[in-house]
Amino acid sequence: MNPFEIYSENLIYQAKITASSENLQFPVINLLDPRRTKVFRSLERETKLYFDFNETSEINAFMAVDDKRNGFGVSTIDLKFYPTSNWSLATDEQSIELNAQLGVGYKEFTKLEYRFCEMSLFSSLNYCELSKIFIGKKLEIGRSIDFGWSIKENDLSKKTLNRYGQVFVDTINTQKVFNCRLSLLDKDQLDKIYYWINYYSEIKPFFVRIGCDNMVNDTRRFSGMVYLSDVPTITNSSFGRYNLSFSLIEAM
Amino acid sequence: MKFVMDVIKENGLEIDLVYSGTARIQLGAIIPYLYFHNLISGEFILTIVNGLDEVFVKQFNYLDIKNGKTEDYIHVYHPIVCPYPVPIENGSYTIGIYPVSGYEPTGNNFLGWIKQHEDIQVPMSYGTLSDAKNPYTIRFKEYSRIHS
Repeated sequence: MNPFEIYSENLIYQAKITASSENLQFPVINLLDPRRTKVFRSLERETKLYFDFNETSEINAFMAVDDKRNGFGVSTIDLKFYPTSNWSLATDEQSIELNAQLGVGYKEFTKLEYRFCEMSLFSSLNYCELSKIFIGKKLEIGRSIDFGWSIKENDLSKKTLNRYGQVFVDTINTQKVFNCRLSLLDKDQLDKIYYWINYYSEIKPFFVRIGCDNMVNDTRRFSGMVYLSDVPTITNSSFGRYNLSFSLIEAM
Repeated sequence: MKFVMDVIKENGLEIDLVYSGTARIQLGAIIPYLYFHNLISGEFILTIVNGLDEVFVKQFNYLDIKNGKTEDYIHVYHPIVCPYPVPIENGSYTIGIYPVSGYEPTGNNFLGWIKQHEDIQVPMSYGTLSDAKNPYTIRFKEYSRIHS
């Protein structure tokens, strides 16, 4: 498992998505809005979403992030993949475990190739709610790179101090900021990185996983939906080798 | 030590609660305060119901309550952990503990739900005239956002 993965090829942007139940004040199209507060809601506690990716597509990962104000609006997410739109013949199934403390649900699996996906949601509420999801495959940068990073959370809460030095905080809310470095990229890896930078720039969010099994006990801890906070810096460190420095900021 | 409690009989015991917060919470565990009186068998379920909709259900047995202790008379906050996040939002809920199988309460073997005076986590909507009118004691644990 690589310590850093970019999940950039999100198939939901090319997919036709329908829901078995939809609250029209929170329509399915909200899944494409970059704001995590813009959610999809159904009218029932058991809901299915049907994805048609328009062509057979490679899929090896799923990620979901919550609405940071309210947390997850579902308890379980199950995926079934189909080669055709015959929804009774699933050939692959995946169950996603959600972490309510970290606000992330994530699973990586052996590469599948399917056109259709059925997502089953179950919630203890009277509706199912989804904020933002990723279905697709990761950007294959390849190995033989060096990766270093740091994280600092921006504290977004409003604090005031009274005359007695007592602190009053409205709510605890933080936003992750990562400073990353990819080193020893070769020219082909650099081209792949440029593709990612050009497509997303600083205006379109994407998903990342930072950390692997030997680094963290839960790889969801530093994973989620992010933006590039600035255009990355590329340094030619030695002949045919490049270093990439960039900052990521958590999408809210 | 003295407790005021009700014995869980075949119809179970229930408590009605109202969550009045504006933001949704993610329930992590429900922890009733139980009294274990020399139980030798019994399967139970804890349910959370919102109107007619079952929000959460989990089964537990007498050995889970005893949790390896050798004593036969135990008062314990028994945690029932949710295996997945259980979103709860503003509304009225009924929490119940019911026997499922293998449980026949007698004077020598029973499970009780303890009532507690001035339960700060479950404020009452009525005034009590006696300790017997106190609500069943229960605690909740919710998942809250942590720093990475």
